[in-house]
Amino acid sequence: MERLRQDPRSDRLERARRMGFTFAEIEGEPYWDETAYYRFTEAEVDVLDDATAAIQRMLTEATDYAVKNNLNEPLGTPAGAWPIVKRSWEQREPSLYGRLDLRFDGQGPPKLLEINADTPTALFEAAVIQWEWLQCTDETADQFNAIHEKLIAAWPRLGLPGTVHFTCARDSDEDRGTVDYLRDTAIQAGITAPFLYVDEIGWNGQVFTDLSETPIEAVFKLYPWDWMLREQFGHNVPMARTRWIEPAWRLVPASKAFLSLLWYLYPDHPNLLPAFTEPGKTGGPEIAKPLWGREGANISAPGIETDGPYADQKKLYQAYAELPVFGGRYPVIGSWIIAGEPAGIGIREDATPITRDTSRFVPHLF
Amino acid sequence: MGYAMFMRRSRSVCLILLAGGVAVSLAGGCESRQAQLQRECAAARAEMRPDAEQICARSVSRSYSSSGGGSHGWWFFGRSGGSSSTRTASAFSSGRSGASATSARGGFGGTASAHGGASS
Repeated sequence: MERLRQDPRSDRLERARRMGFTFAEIEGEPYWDETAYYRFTEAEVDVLDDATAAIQRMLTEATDYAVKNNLNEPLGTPAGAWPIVKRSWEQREPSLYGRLDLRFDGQGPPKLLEINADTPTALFEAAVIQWEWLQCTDETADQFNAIHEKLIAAWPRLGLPGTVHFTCARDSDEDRGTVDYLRDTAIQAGITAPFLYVDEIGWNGQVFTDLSETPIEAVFKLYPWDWMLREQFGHNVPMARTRWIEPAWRLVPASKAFLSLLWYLYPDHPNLLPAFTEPGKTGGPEIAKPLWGREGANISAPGIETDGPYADQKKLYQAYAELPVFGGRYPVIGSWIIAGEPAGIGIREDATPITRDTSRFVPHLF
Repeated sequence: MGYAMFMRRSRSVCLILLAGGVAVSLAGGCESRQAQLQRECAAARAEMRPDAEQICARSVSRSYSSSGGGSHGWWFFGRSGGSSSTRTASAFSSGRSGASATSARGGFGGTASAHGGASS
C-alpha cells in the first residue's frame, strides 16, 4: 500500500458536474481530491475483501444475539424503538448497504473502527467518480470497486414494491447527491423512484403519504433512525405499513456500543479492536466516541478533543489505534457492503487522525 | 477466493438519472432500460421460459417515470418535490376510515437543521 502524488486533471470539476457530482467541492474546499491516489497490491485487496466478509458475518450473528437477548439498553437504542427493531429483524427485512471504516496500512490485518449501518455516505464517489478517474488515468490498472453493479442487482432482491420513494433532509448537496445516485441505480433496476424531502412526508392518520397524497409503501431514507424516532412523526412509524431502507434493525449495528458487543462475542478477533462501554478496560490508550455521534464530533483521544452536538451522549471506549500516515495524511478505508456482500472501497483522508466532514476523498487502484 | 481473482476491466458504469444515459466507462456504452427489458423478453421467449410473458409485460409497461428532479439544470427529469407514483393505493385501502383527506406534514426533518446533513 502506498500513496502517490499526481497532478489533478484540469477539467475534473467539469467532469464531476457532467456526472451529476455536485459536491466535488464543499464550501469552496476540495472534497474530491486528485492530488494523490493510493495503490494496493492484489494481495492487499484480497485481505480487505476477506476482512469485510468476516466482519459482515460477525455483524449478522451479533445482531441476532442482541435482538434475542433484548440488549436495547446497553446499545442505547432510542426509547420506544425496540419493538420495531425486533419486528424488523425477525422478519429479516433486507439491508441494501452499509460501510465499514477500517484502519489498514498494508502490514497487519484491517481493524474495524466503526460501522456505518444506517446512513453511510461517500457512496457516489466510491462507486462512480473514482472509477471514471481510473478510466482516464491508467488503462492497465484495476480498482476494488463493484459497488455500482451490486447496487443495481440488489434492488430487485429486497422484496420491495414497484415504487420506492427516496428522501433526505434539505440543504445538503452531499445528501441529495447520494440519494439521487441511489435513485439512479434503482431506476436502472426497474423501480419507480420519486423523490421528496423528509419534511414533505405526510401523515394522514393511518399511513405516510407523498405530496400527491399517495401512500408511501416503501422509502429509502438518507435520514437517521435515531433522529426520526424522536421527531413528531416518530411515534407513527410502528403504525405505518411502510418498508424502510435501511430497515429498523440497523439501529443495532449503528450504535457504537455494538463494537463492544462484537468484542464480547469475538474477543481477540484479528479484525476487531478492544471496545467497552466503560473507560479504562482496554488496558491502554483509548478513544471515546458518543454512541450516536457522526463525522468525528465529540471525540476524545490522546492529544485530540473535538467538539460537536453529542457531548451529552453515553460513550464507547475503544482501544486507540492511530491511523497510519501516508504522505502526511491519515487514510480511513471505507469498505462497502451491498446486500450483505463486500463490494469495494473508498478512501477518505485527513490531515489529522480524526476523519470528519472536511476530510477528502482520494481514489485508489491496484 | 478474493476480489482480485475477478477481471474488472470489462465493467461498464452507466448513469441514467444523473447523466441522462451517458456512459461513464470507456469499456462500453449504456443500454437503455427499455432496450434491456426488450432484450430480456426476446431471450425469455426464445428459451420458452415459463415466466416469459411476465418478463415481456415489464418491457411494455415500464418506463422511467421518476420526477422530483431537484434544482440542478442538468437533471434528466423535471420538477422538484412531488411524486409520480403509478401504483394505486389498493394495498393501503382497507380500513382507511381514520385517514384524513389532507396529510399533516413537517413531522420529520427537524433534527437535520442542527446537524447539517445526515452523513456518516
